[in-house]
Amino acid sequence: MGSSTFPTPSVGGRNWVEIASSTPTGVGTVSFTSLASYNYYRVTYYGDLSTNSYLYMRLNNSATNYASTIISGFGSWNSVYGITSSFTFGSNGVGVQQSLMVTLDNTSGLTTASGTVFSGVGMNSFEGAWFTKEQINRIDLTTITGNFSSGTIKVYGSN
Amino acid sequence: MPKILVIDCSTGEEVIRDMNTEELAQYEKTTAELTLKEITEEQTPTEG
Repeated sequence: MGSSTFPTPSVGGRNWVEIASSTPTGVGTVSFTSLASYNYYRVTYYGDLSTNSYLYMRLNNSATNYASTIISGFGSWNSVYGITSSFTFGSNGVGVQQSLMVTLDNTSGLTTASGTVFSGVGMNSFEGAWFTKEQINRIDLTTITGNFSSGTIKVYGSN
Repeated sequence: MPKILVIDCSTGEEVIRDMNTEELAQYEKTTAELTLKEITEEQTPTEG
């Protein structure tokens, strides 16, 4: 019997590096461009949106070939969105006091996304895919109605 | 014309400008699609 070696425990968690931060007001879209190349990206946001507004995210300004499923914590909605032009978060009008955390995996042959939207009235869990192997170099976050009026968006990267 | 805040993450430069033609086309496509999706969802709720 050969000797065995107990595997070295990995360091828990991922080492996220903050790439950019913005506290936008008076605009409905924020575009993070010239992103450095990472295998993983994380986008976080907390702030107030207009009532009945919500957010969508577009990668590399491409509006094709996104698929997403949202399970809502309201207990009354289960949405499978099929092929759409964006990742969409916080539907059903939960835009007030909304926080968002999305992790984008850019390493699996296509870009997959998972995340959660928290708000004062419910929770949406999100799984999605952007059908491309293209390296992410731009992330746009847009409100479906109205402008950002508070809150900070942060973009992180990790390998 | 919708405004966009563009942040160049390599330089830190921030600019607010009107959407260009390509951005506007993608924005309008997504907005129209999501509006249609909202209508569809309102018509097909499922009890969870």
